[in-house]
Amino acid sequence: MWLKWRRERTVAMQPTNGYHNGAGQTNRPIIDLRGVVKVYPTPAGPFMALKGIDLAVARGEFLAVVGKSGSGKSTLINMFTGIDHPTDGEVIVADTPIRHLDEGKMAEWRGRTMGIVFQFFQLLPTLTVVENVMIPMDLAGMYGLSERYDRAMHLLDQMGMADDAHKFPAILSAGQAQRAAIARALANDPPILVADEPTGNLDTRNAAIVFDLFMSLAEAGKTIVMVTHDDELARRTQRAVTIADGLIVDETRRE
Amino acid sequence: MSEPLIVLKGVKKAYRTPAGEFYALRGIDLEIGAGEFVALLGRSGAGKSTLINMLTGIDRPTEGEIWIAGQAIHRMSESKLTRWRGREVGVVFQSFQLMPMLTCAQNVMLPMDFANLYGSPRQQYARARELLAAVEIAEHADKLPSAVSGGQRQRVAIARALANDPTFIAADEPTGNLDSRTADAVFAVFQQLAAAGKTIFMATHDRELASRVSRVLHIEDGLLVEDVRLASVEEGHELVAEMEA
Amino acid sequence: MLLFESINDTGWGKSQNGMIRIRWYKVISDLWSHRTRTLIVSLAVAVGVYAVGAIMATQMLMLREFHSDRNEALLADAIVYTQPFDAKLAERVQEVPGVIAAEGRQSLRARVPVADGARRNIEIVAIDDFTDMRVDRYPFIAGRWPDKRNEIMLEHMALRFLGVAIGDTIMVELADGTHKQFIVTGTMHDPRYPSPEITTFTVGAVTPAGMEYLGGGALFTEMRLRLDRDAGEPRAIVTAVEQRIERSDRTIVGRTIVGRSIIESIVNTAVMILSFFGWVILLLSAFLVINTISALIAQQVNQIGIMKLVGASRGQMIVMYLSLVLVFGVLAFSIAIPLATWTAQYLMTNLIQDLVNLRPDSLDVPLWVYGVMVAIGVFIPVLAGLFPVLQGTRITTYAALNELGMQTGTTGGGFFDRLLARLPKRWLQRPLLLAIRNTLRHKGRLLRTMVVMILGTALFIAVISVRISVNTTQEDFLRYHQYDVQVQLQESHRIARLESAALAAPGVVGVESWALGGATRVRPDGLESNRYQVIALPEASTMVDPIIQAGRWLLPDDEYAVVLNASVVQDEPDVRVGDRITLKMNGREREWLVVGFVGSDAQGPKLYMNQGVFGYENRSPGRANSVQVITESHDLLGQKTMEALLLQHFEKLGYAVRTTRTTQTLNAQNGLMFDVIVGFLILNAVLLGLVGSLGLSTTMGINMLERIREIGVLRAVGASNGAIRRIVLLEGLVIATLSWVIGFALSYPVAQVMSEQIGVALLDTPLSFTYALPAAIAWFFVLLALAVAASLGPARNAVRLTIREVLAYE
Repeated sequence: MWLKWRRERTVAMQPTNGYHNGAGQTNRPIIDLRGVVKVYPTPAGPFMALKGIDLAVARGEFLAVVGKSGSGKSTLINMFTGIDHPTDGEVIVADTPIRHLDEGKMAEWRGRTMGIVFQFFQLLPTLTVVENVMIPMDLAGMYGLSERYDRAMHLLDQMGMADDAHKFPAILSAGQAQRAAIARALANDPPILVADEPTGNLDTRNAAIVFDLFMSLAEAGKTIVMVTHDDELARRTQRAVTIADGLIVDETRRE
Repeated sequence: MSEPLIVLKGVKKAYRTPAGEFYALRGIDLEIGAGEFVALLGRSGAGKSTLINMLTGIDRPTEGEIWIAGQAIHRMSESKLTRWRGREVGVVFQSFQLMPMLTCAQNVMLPMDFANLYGSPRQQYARARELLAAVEIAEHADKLPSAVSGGQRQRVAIARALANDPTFIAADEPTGNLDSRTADAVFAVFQQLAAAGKTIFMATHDRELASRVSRVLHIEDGLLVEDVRLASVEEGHELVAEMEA
Repeated sequence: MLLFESINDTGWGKSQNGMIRIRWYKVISDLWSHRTRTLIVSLAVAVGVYAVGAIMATQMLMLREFHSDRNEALLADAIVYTQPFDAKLAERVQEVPGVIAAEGRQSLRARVPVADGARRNIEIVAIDDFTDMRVDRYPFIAGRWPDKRNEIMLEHMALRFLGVAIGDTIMVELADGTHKQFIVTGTMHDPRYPSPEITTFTVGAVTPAGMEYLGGGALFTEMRLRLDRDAGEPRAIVTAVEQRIERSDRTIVGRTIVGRSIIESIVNTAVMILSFFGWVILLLSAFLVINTISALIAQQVNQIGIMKLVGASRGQMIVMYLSLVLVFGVLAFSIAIPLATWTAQYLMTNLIQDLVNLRPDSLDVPLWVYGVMVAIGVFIPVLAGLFPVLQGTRITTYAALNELGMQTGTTGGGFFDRLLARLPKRWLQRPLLLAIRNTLRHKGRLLRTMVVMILGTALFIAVISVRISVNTTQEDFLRYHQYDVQVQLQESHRIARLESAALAAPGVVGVESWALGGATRVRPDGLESNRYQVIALPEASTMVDPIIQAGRWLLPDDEYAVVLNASVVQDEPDVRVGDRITLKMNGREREWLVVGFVGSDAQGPKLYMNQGVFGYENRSPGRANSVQVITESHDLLGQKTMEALLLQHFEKLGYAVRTTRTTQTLNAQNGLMFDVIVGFLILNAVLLGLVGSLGLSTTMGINMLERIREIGVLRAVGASNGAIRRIVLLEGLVIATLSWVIGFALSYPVAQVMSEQIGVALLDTPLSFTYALPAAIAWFFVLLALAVAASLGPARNAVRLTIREVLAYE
């Protein structure tokens, strides 16, 4: 029921001259990048971080973006999370062309459409774990006031973090913190999950646990885009694209 | 073979975490001779940075001994370590770590100033310009770091590492923030330094670059799992191919 | 975030390579590239230095000139009134042990008609030898001393008071209505009295021949004495003097031991207020500096790491940072010293000098005051900076490079955290919780900011309360003067005649007659007090509405019953309600029952009694010598017009008028006395407000800077512009509200103590305390506005940040 309501809200935020409302067209890619170019001005002249990227991610896909530091993979992520804007090209995510949204609108839209998981967890230190999970719901005004707590506890339970719900992030281990961060990313039940080197700061054992969580979320139907420079992890996803110097140089699909 | 420059004996490093002690290094034994160009390979979290921090005295081991040029690094006080590092070690980081308010030349002069080496400020400036010329960015000497590109910033950091003519140079992912062309150029600077006889210890996760050095170490979950001395570039490429498999 | 943003144009240094050591480039560009921060920290220090400096300078100037004036004037310690005597008796009295100097004087009160038909009071004193005044000396100012009988020397403030100039002729009107002309030969200074606007009279000096011309006789009636206070009790010495005078067959008429003058009260109260606030403001500004310097060091943690990396020793860095901090101090006192000097001199020449009647010899601020300002300017920042600098340079290279030192704030185990953990999780929205928790994150900084704002709040409300209490007190003074115009007559007259005469004047709607007299108290040890004014009131007087402090007011059938006002109680501390005291009135001693104490009217010590018994004791039953009149109009102009009209009216009817006054001038005169004090209070309120707002805005700035990454995270999880702005603003509002609540709670007792202290210091009685609730509420809104203003900049910047920038901050 609320899914429908959410879609209406998303539609309402679209600029009138924007892309046509595609609600219901489930065969359209949920993330659609066409000819995306990104140029940064640098003191040494313009630097082309993305040199024309075409990338479509279907609903429910688990995509790994692989590349060395400086290859442009973070810039690519920034394009469809709305963290940065392309110099040229079109970015359509969940049927919304995002280039027309300003920073504040973008944040609201992002809060409902995608959950982001960072390498360094980025939990708010003055909120407890459960409060960290509740804050996206507060900001988006999703779920009833009393429902939020129960939902947050439920998500934490799924991550195996229910016992730590009332702790402050400072006393969590890295693996626990990342699991809490994933719970937060799932707070508003977004269709898309974006993870930027989610295992980069974890030891092998915890990295495996976290990766397995992403695998099970993918099976449950979430669209997941994960940035990594760990080839071994990338090999385990459905699909992997390799970025080098601003271009997609390799793409593999597995069944 | 002469006495090695760097000797590590049973080095362990534990970090206290709320979930108990976490061992980032679980017993490292290592000898590095003068003039070697060593690449340290490993995934993030494997212990690369921790090992670099041990060698440079930025952090101290929980257990074990570190001897560099006959000095017991593990026994030095914080202030003695700082002075020792200022004169004997050049450190290069992924994120450059330049002082934003000082020009490139002034950043290079800073270690000389704190160590009271190389004479008057005027003489220090002359030396800084020479070092910047050696890394091919003399023309940017009087610009602020924010006004030059990433690759140029890393060259400034290398020139700074050379300021006090240190015993060895430690580099932690020096090309990690650079695109591949710039990374190649910066790596070439290290190769020149190695050719000139400098001892270099470089952490990286770029296997391609690692194949171009004289010795490759591989660290995994706090332990050295591989130690290969390379005779030639070809051998290096073979090694990389072997690892990929 | 203007305060701590990094401005990358160092703008200098490029052409200066090789001039100085590189480490100093860093220090200088830290100062220069963060100009706003440099300015704000320097200002915070400067406020403290200025407060102490301005206050100390004002105090020193005021006290120095006050004492030099008084020393120059060789003020009398006591005056003995007796039958006429000549200079030889004065010489003999001077031989009495404990007497430093004795000089005979004679004085009389007269009036000088001025423009608009009014008359101004003047005290005329006969001086034997102007070149050798040994007691109550009048320092010469301009013109020349008089040497003819029709020449007069005036107190310098009399020129304006009487509207005359040197060389003019003035008319002196004596008690019997006769007029004598005098030529004004020059001006002198009489530092015994403040401005004539306060005392309502001025002073003139004539030769003994001039006194004879005025009908006073060539001999003296006042023995003015300077006493050696080390030689014994003044009263005992005076008794010895009296015995000496009595041996020459003269009777003693009265005596006055000169106590603290009203000038001294004003000066001492001002000094008290000034020193208190000076140190408070200094303390508050030190707190501000600690906050900003800790934040500065926290931001430099990474740079400290880099410097350690390239071999900087802890000592080298401590020297660098303390030099940086020292520059704040130098800037601060460079700003504060000229301002403080100017303030002290401005207050001296525009406020204190005229009201207190000072004649400053110089306006130079003592050098040591500058020394103190330099020392404070240097000490505050160095002292405030020492701890953060030592702490900041102590962390390990590893921690510094990874900026582990940045995570100084903790949330978890503390009392507040546990309290907050109990808040209902389901209903309290996280954004609000976040704002509250963030506020409490840096407890030390919050505490210092809150102390600044709490004290600022409490003292601001207190200062305004005192200001209002001053007004209430002035109104209370008038409760003893519930009429419009008072006409005092030279002689007593039948009450019925007086009142019908008054009612015959146009515009008079009510009248009451008082009998005014004097009495001394004969104390248990046999010594006599100074002379107290006696006010004998008709039964059920409607023109005195007393504030009973103890006991009760007069009852119609009271006979030998007396009510003392607060000033008398102050002078006679042994007297209690219900005691019987001996009063000497009209030469006769009687036992009186003290039935009550009432408040003061700022017009000196007074005894209130019933007219019946007063008339009996003074052999003047049914008579009175003062008519109080209620007129149709009660404003200043109306009263003034009626005053002149009544004066003419009574004189035309053949009454000899001694003096007239209106209650509005009485009120204005009381107000003048408070002017200096109120001026200082307002200055302090402004400074406190300034420090409070500086405190809030620096804290908000620092807090925001540390939260840049958090704002990025909030953006990433869906915070709109409004949500981020709300969180930032909320934090400022939480601090402001919390500070106000505590400050408000404190303000009542603080205001009470302050108004009591100031009242006692100035009037020997607490002010009529009125709490300034409207000001407290208004201040709350000012604080909220300040909080919004202080958070707005950070909030705007927070909204502008893109996540990319924030994550690049990693």
